[in-house]
Amino acid sequence: MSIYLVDPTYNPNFFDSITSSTKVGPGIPIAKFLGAPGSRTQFDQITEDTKKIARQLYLQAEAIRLVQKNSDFNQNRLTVSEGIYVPAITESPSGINKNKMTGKSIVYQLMAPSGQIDIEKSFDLAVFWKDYAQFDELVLDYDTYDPDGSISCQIVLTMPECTESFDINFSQKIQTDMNGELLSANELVEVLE
Amino acid sequence: MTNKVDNLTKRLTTLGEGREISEGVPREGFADPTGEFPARDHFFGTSINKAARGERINKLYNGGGDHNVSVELADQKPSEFPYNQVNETQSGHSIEIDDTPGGERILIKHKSGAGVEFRSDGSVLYASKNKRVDIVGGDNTVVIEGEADLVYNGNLNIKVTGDYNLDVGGNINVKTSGDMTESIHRSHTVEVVENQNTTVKGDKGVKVLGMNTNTVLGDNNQLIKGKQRNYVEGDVELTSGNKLITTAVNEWAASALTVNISGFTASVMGFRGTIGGEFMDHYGKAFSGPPGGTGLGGTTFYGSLIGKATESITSLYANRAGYTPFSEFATTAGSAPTGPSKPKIPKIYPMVMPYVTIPPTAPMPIAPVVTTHLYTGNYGIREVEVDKDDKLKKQILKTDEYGDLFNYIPTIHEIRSKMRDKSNRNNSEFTGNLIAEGRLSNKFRDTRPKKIGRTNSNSNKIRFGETILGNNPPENRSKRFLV
Repeated sequence: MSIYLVDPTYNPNFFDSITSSTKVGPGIPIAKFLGAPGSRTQFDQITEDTKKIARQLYLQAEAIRLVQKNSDFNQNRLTVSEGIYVPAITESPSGINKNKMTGKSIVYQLMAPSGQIDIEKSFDLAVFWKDYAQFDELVLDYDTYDPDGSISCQIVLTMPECTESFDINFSQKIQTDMNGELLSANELVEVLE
Repeated sequence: MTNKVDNLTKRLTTLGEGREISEGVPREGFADPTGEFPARDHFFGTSINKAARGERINKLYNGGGDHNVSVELADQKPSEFPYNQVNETQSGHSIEIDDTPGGERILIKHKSGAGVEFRSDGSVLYASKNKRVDIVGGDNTVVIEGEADLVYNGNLNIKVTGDYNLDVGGNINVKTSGDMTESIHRSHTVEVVENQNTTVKGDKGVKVLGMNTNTVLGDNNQLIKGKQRNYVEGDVELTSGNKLITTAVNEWAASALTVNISGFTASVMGFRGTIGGEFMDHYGKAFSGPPGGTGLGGTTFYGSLIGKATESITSLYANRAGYTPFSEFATTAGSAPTGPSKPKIPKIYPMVMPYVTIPPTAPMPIAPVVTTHLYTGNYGIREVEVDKDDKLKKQILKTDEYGDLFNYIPTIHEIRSKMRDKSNRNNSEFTGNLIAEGRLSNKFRDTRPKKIGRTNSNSNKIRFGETILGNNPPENRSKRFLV
């Protein structure tokens, strides 16, 4: 375990209350992780401890900040495609979806100026995060779910469980998935078709 | 002026030998003594700014588009020397006034990427990497001839102290994944010129503290699959200008301390039951009991009867009785075992009773008649069946179609989110319907890509920062980075 140094301006432990407007990074409100197109959630639907979620999202915001500072991605937008997850009544989530419920896992897409996913740059981003970001697990996730069968690319960033004292250990595991199944462990593979 | 001759001793004294050796002495007397210029990307070349020569295009921060929202701009032609006047500072701020034929533009750029660019095609790009504040002391007018997209990846709050007038020539489509709350302190008026449809998949409640009036100038239909309960503390009036029909398959009950049923024509039929009471009066033209029993029917009367009876247990006056155990006065008797020795003075009873046979006009409501009336007549029982087998409900809820995972039509992003769970991926009902509806590719189980590109393993690597500190030349082996 190691103590993670937290920017006091955005340390959720110092906030009296957590709302969707609470910022977990510069220009990064919690709302950014709520209205994602893949998991639209309302703050009042969250049943977990909101401060705990805010701490998890703080770690995610740190990864976002890295990208914002990198001029290589100046022409790209990093969007949250799947944020905080609230399952259906009959659903018992596991894996990434379970982690999404507490903000441990967040799914990102890197958009090109055209408004489409920048597949090539997404690989660059995964490599960049792998080298510079701190995380528990990074999954470069490709799929052909789109009705036209085209390739889509997401990056799933999973953070370790964040305690109130920010005693955390980052495993830095990486893998590549294709249509939900493991394509390559401990390696990032760029899928073109 | 510094040169290698005149200041060597002085520099050795002030800077020290080590620094003198490492920094060296500029060969040219016109070099920048601070070492900032020429910048490292101008080493061994002309010091004319690369942007002025068209070798580099200074771009503002664009940030990329959002899902299906494009921020693409037309390509900018590279600058040509000597048309582009570039003023770039050592930290990276730049102002460009570019007269390159076909690529005319003006750029004001902060080193962070924020700035303004007036592009050759007339486009203007405003870029801010952090907060942006617009303050207008007076009026503000925005006229956009084309289309616009607004994306807020956070909360949006709009405050209007005056009226908020929205005039839309086309459709308004509002979609929210959460709640929608309207708080109106005064009246709410909605005028729909054509049709209005509302679908509520859960419960609906309306509270009206004052009067509630629904005026329907056409027909009004209520189809209810469950129960309907109307509880009214005051009076209820149900008035029809024509027919009022109430039927129930099993039971229909009406009760009150006083009940009034009246009509020019009234029919009450039933197999069995009770009509009448202790102090009830019955009026009618004819009475007929059920078939069977003695004579025409098996009806039994208790009490007084004025009229003609085939059999009467006690009759004050019988015009003719086949057998009577006791007769107060018999005009003629075939046999009378006992009787008074002195004939009584007979009471004068009318010899001919005002009795005229008037048969019933309606058929006797025997079982076949009642059955026919109940099941085939115009006023018979009406079978009610609303949404048989819940087909409509399932169609609206969509839970069957999507394996209870969605109760609305999902987007590809929402489908992708659910597919992260293996149990959902293996839910053939869920995936099958999505494929059938064209919302999911049938290639979703292909786990082998057709073509792969670069790879990058997780082996330990030396990590460098992103921004090189100072003005070290690129070939310098020892770089210092800002991480």
